[in-house]
Amino acid sequence: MTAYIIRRLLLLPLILFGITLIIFGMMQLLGPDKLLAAYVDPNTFNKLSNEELEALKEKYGLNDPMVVRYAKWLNGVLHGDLGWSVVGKMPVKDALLQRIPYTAELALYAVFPVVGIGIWLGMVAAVHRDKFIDHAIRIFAVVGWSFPDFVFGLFVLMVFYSWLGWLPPGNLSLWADEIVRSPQFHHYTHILTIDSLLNGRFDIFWDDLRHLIGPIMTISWLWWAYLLRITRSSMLEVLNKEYIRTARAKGLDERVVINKHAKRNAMIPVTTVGGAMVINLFAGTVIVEVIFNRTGLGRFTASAATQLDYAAIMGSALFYSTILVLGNLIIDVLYAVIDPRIRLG
Amino acid sequence: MEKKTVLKVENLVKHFPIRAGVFRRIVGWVKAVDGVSFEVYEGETLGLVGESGCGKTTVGMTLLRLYEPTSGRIIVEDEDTTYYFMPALRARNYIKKTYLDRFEKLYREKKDGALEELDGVDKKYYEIFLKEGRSGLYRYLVSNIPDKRRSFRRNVQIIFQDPYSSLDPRMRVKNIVAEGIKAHGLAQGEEVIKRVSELLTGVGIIPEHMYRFPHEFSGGQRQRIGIARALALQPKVVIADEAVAALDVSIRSQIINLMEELQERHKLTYIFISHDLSVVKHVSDRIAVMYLGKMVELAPKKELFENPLHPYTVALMSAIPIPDPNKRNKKRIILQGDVPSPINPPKGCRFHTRCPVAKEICSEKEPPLVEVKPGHFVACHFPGSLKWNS
Amino acid sequence: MMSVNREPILQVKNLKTYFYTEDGVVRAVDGVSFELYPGETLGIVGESGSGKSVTSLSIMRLLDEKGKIESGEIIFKGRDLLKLPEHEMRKIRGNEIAMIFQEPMVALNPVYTIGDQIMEAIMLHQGADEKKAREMAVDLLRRVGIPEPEKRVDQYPHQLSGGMRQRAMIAMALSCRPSILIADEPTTALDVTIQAQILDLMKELQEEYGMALIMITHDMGVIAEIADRVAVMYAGHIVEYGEVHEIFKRPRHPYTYGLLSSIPRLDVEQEKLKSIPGTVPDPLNFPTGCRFHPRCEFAEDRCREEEPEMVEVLPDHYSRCFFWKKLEGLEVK
Ligand SMILES: Nc1ncnc2c1ncn2[C@@H]1O[C@H](COP(=O)(O)OP(=O)(O)OP(=O)(O)O)[C@@H](O)[C@H]1O
Ligand SMILES: Nc1ncnc2c1ncn2[C@@H]1O[C@H](COP(=O)(O)OP(=O)(O)O)[C@@H](O)[C@H]1O
Ligand code: SF4
Ligand code: SF4
Ligand SMILES: [Mg+2]
Ligand SMILES: [Mg+2]
Repeated sequence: MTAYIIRRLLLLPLILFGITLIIFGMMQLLGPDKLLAAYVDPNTFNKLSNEELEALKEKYGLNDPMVVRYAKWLNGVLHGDLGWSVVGKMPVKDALLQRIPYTAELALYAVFPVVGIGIWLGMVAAVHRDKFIDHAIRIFAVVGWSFPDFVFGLFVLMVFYSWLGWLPPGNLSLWADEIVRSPQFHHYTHILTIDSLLNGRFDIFWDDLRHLIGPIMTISWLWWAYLLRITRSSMLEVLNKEYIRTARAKGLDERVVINKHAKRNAMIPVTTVGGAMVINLFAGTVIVEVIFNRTGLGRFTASAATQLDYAAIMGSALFYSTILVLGNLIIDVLYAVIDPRIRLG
Repeated sequence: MEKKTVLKVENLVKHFPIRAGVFRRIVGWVKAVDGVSFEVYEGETLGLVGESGCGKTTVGMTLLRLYEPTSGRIIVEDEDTTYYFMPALRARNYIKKTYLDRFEKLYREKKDGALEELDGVDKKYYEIFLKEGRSGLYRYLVSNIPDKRRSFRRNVQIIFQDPYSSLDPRMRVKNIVAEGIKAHGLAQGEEVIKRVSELLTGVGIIPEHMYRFPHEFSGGQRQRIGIARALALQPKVVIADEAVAALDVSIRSQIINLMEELQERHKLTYIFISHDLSVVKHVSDRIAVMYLGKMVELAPKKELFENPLHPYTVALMSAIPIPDPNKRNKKRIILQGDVPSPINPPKGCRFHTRCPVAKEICSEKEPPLVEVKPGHFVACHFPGSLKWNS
Repeated sequence: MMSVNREPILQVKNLKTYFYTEDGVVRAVDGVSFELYPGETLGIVGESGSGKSVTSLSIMRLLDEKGKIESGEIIFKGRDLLKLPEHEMRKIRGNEIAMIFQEPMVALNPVYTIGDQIMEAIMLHQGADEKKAREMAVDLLRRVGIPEPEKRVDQYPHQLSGGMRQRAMIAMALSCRPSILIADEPTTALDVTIQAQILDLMKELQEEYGMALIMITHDMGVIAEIADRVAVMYAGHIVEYGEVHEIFKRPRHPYTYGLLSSIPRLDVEQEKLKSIPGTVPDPLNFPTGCRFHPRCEFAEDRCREEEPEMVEVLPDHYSRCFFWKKLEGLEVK
């Protein structure tokens, strides 16, 4: 097991290297002209003469061989410099650092409803298989599963903002944003819900929360239904296992059979799938950030992609890949904790 | 009566690597089959028995070249087939080492005189070597490899244990049986259907059912289909790996009888792999007993049962419950403990950790397989010292 | 060892257990009756699907939702188990009647140590504290012949060999000294040398603990080895029932006779094996009349229309066949 973890950690830089290489390569397919477009104001771009264009390409190093440019980029990364983001109009690193907390906060809070509700309902449905409660939960899940998240997001926005005025879009209300940006407000963790409490500003905490609930509901919407289905079928499978029968044959109370003998086994596949989902929460925030007008990483990456801001694209890719690989590692460790067959080989 | 050898296995070894650690280095080997030699005569049934994990299936799969042998020779009908399925470079090295270089050395030392000390394929190939030289023999061996492969696949077929998973559930029975016939071009068009009907009739399946899917048949019927598939190519040797183990008691005897009938009708040679000594006793002419990747005893059936010499064979016989309550109180030999792991098999005689009559030498020196009587081979320092009367 | 004048410890009377599946009703157990006397071993033998496991699960009342016990009585120590409330039944399971299963790998929970799984029953039924229960678990493991029990008690099932897992299962079943042990094919998944060890152990423990044993198997050899009396099952019925020597020597049902003559044997020379033609019947569509008639060499018209009843053909020897007399004088070869 330890060997496995070490191997995975050693692989991490290799995977990252591979991913950036692929993305970099794909960007190069566009050719220097298209890449240049990202650096120049579109209004002036068409009016530039060929000589001027060449000069600009030279300036941004777009005429260098690909290997050289990649090496430059890589060298920068190793020195903590991810390049200049055209979209963000600041260094890529700063742009990422500014946006990651918003996305992280969203993903972090979305995990609880997804995992909590998904797994809990899945277990309940399995234990009461084919009873009324099982059917009700499954219908609920089918609806969740077949409703696209952006439709649901718009629906939430309509009902809770336009109609009821409870949940506003955006990151924060203006007044709160001002306070947060002022020097009196200390950023301990960069997660605003926590920082506001640490600063003793419950009003800001509440304001932040109101902005978060809509997006959280939308993100969770798709995933909990999915996790529910996996949990239910995993639990049903476990309940049919012979060791469950053995447990009952010992005269154990049905509660003990379910809670002690079934649940832990049922969690084994759920950990893998559920873990992968949680990781995807980080990546899957684009639509929600667009709908709710939040300045998060998803939205940033999306606009970087449309404008071929390749330093920014590579920076985000690097971040997402790191999250993915580390996340998967954590899943594997969890897996080993639950299942002694993995732990003890 | 001179018995013709159809298949000969010499010193067959198959080791599976175990990988572990940060770099998935090979940290050990599962010595699944560790130096097994035997011959199979035309038209006979050789039974292969032993407990789970002793390497029976691995022997079968390696014979079929579904596993690449680690070392050893597999000779079918007087041709060395070992290199048929090796990648070109390995095949070349194998031929070079096994024949060309060896023969060259022999020739330098003994010239034609070497012929006398050779037999079987060695002799045959040495003659070619003498006549056509090193490159002539090489050409003889490597020419038409694809044809050689095809004819090998035709000649050696397998029947699997599990009638449920060994048939493709999405294929109709007709196609399952016809697949090989078509691939080997044995028949075309209408002929194929006719062949399939004949084959199915031969195994007791109504030919009208050829358009059904496997799940529409019972376990016993599926095993019949599996047999029809194996026989479609008119093989010489059929390896049956636990072919009746998954079947119900009342169906088992049907399949055993069917296999015996077919053997007579088609002059088949069987290698019958089973963990059940009673079944093996019923079907076999000769029986080979395996333990932990080694062959411990090999003898004609009657000889083996009248005069078992290896303590493991004796223990195995005594462990089988006899379906007669009057024979209940006979003292059986209960072996202690489990079969050791094939990764680190015990030193010396592999059976010494469980052998009731082991002496000191058993844990130090490995007993070779020796012919103690004509046709009766045993690998034990003290053959016949464990007694048990049934 | 006939037990005519003793009181049976368990009596199963006309048990019917059906499964209501999407494809139809499976009459898995369809009117089964037998008794079990203290200290004896009753062998239940039959091919797969004949209803052996369902019979034992019905006794334990451990069927899944699709399975319904339609009718019958299961009298254990004077009480009908089928009428007990669930919480009373729980006090019997694992305590008075224990059970072991076929596949020791899948019958043990992979995520708990075997010690944990043995202690659970001890703590539940005997009210022992954890320390005491652990001591008892170690003792039990030692008793069933597991080497280094102090170490093994903390190991997980996958760390033991198949034979040791089955020993651990036996230790678990015996932890509360049950008066009945039901063993559902306990050696089918094991090698013969390990099977010999386990059968030996079970015989020894049965004597030591004085419990009655129901041994379920499809292997006539195992029955001959261990059973005092035998019930032969076919298609949800017991078709023959009697003392073990009787059944093997004078089978009075064509199925038993066919079964006994179709097994390859180590101890006698056989030319060609006799075989029972046809296939095991589909449980959704049992044949009408005698369920064995499509495969029976003695069948007559009556067998196709009328269902035979169980009759006492010899003292304490029952057969469910109209024409059992035809088997008189036939020897199993
Ligand atoms: N592909 C493989 N990789 C690694 N080890 C293997 C592989 N196949 C078999 N082995 C190991 O080789 C040994 C022999 O296996 P094999 O399947 O030949 O046994 P067997 O005698 O056929 O047993 P059984 O009666 O259970 O079928 C076992 O220890 C097995 O675990
Ligand atoms: N849970 C179940 N659902 C539906 N059918 C079942 C179930 N369990 C057993 N059966 C059916 O009941 C019949 C008897 O099964 P069983 O008692 O397990 O046979 P065996 O004699 O092999 O132990 C079989 O036809 C089987 O398919
Ligand atoms: S060599 Fe020794 S240990 Fe091996 S079988 Fe013979 S007597 Fe037993
Ligand atoms: S009743 Fe008829 S069909 Fe049934 S077993 Fe007897 S003879 Fe055979
Ligand atoms: Mg095998
Ligand atoms: Mg069963």
